[in-house]
Amino acid sequence: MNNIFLLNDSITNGFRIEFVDIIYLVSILLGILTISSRNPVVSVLFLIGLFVNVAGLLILVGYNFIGLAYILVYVGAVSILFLFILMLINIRVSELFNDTNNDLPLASLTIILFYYIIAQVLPINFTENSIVSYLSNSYSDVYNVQLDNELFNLVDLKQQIGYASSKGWDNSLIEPTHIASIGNIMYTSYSMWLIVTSIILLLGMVGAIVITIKQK
Amino acid sequence: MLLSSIFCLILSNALSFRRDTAILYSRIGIIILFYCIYLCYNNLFITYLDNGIGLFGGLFYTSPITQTFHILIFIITLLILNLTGFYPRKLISSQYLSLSNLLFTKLQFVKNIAVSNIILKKGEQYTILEYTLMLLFIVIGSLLLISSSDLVSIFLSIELQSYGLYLLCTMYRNSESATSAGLTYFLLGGLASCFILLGIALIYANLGVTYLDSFYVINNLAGVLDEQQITIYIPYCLLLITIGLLFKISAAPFHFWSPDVYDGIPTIVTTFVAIIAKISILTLLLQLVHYTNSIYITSQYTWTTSLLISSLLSLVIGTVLGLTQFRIKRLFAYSTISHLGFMLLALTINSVESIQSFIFYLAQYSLSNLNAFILLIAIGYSLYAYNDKNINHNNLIDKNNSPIQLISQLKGYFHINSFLALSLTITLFSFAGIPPLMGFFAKQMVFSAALQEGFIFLTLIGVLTSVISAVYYLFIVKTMFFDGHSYTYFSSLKDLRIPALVLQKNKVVNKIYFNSKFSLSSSLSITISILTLIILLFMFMPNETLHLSNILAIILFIPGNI
Repeated sequence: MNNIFLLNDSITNGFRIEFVDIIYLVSILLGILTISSRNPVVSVLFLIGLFVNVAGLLILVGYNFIGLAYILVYVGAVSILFLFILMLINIRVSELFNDTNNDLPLASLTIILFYYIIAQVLPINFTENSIVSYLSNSYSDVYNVQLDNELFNLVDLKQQIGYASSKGWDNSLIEPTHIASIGNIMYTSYSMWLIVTSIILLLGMVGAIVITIKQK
Repeated sequence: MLLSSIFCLILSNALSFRRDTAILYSRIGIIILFYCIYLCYNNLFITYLDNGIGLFGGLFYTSPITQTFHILIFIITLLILNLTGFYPRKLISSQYLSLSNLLFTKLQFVKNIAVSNIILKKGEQYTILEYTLMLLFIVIGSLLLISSSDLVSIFLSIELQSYGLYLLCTMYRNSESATSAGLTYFLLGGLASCFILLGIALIYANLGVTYLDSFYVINNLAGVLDEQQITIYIPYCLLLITIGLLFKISAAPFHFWSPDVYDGIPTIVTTFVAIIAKISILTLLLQLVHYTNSIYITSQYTWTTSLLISSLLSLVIGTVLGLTQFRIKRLFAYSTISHLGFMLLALTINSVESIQSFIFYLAQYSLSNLNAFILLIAIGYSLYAYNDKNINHNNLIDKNNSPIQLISQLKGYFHINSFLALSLTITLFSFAGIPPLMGFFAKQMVFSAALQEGFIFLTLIGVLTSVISAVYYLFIVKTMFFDGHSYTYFSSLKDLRIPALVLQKNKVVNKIYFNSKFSLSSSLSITISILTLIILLFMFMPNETLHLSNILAIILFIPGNI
């Protein structure tokens, strides 16, 4: 039986698991603030903060290109569009003060139910690193893994493997960049998806024209 | 994908500046669809296609089932384009009916406005140039959806199809109800897409595959390898995807949008929206259910049980809520929901007989639903010459686009145009499952398949709801035949004489007068008569259809044995 051992070098990588937890907490906070703030402009600003946060998480984890694309698309295009629309439609803030406190039990019930189901479904290395699982099983000593210690076993290391990616300089010689690998796949074996996506975009363009064109 | 080349042609045509040529685009669309039907039929090698051949590196596949449903979709789209491809009414004059006159002379009307009013030249559906284009986009989406064998291509093609449908709903911009219904459809459809995407993402995160083939392999080996892990979460992921799909076809717990949307949008568009999306998504579900069903051997929970729940709820809700409706399109929406219950039941049983009945049910239901909607449109056109005395009917919203909205508008329609009334009756009886018609055989096949596999409770529910739903179908029939109508013939139309000149080589040969005899155009009447005759006379030649669905079902189960 062949085993593949992945070694995580936290010295050159600079990746520490605590940062991910901080980002998780901040993004949860921002998400809640997005929903709960009364003023739509403030809410959109929180949303932008959330997007930047998530993009930072993606870059930290190693998905450089996706993180940058996240900032580009969501912050650059979508949120600005939101802001424009909000400026155009002129909502009075006083109209938005409605009583949503009655929905709180329902919302929390939904969240708990959702988490209960989804936590079963999610793969292990997604849930294991989150702060929730630390709270639930505090005996796990992930932080004590020493790199020079020969005795650590794979079970402990499994926590770290989920983010297997390295930023060592020698790896960039062998490892193609994300954009290159995405392009390699997308334009060869999955080119059909590209065509279908282009048809969707064409439909979107035609549709936008159709429903806004001034008929004679 | 030959469709997309044809469809560039349409796009270039769509740059035209004249809005009144939309009718010609519909006709071009019909020609394109004929071509596509020919191509599809030409590729239908049942023996060689066998259980399916992967295309484009396994992202899509083709099999006899996909080809057959492609043809079905083409035919239905063709008939729907037929509605906008021709003017709905025509003038008849006995002086101008001889063949030599028709071939060698040219008719010119003196007063054009009256004629164009009568044949409804200025109707809004003839000013929307992009209608055909949008229809073809949707058809491409649903074809790709039927034959997709990868999770990402499923999502892409489902989005292509639904964007087209949202746009189609909002395309009649002058009517407020159509726009709001389109917006509702858009929001809820977006929610459904979120569910599908979540399910796909979870499957990918857990298994690392998006190919459906490898997914099926993992799925069916899962119980052998690892009983605790995989068998727990695969059903949940599939359940999430299925919730999204059921949302899109408006099966019961997720049905709330469909009556509102169907009622709001113009009847011509409703015809398309109600039928096409269901065919494609149900065919996709057939594939999903068939290949993932065997997981219940090893695990306690099978996700198809939830399909059964949805089927039960669809049957009950579709019938019970349908009883209280007085708007006819909402009624049709509820009847669609209850029929979906039957289809989901046949789908979930997943034996050879039930798959056969599923395929047959889907085909026959699409055709008869199409006939019902076309009949509604035709009835709306045929009431042009009549003045409605009932005050309530005169201030309906959006009367131009969907003339028939209330069931009470059909009162005594038998005395106005008995043939249309009879056709509608036959179609409704077929919905209700009255024996000699096509709907009866479909229901009977579903029930016998269900009884064979021991689904006695659901069969009982099916029989009961089918009887209850007969109440509202019969109510429409009663309204049409036995109530007195409130329509009077326009007095100004009665002694109307339209002068026309018969030209031969630019010389006036004869001058004739058209009186106010006008009727439905032959495109409508031929479509209606063919569909009604198919429903009515199915029992005399059932072999072709039944054998086809039988072969398709057998291929799915026993590949390589034909």
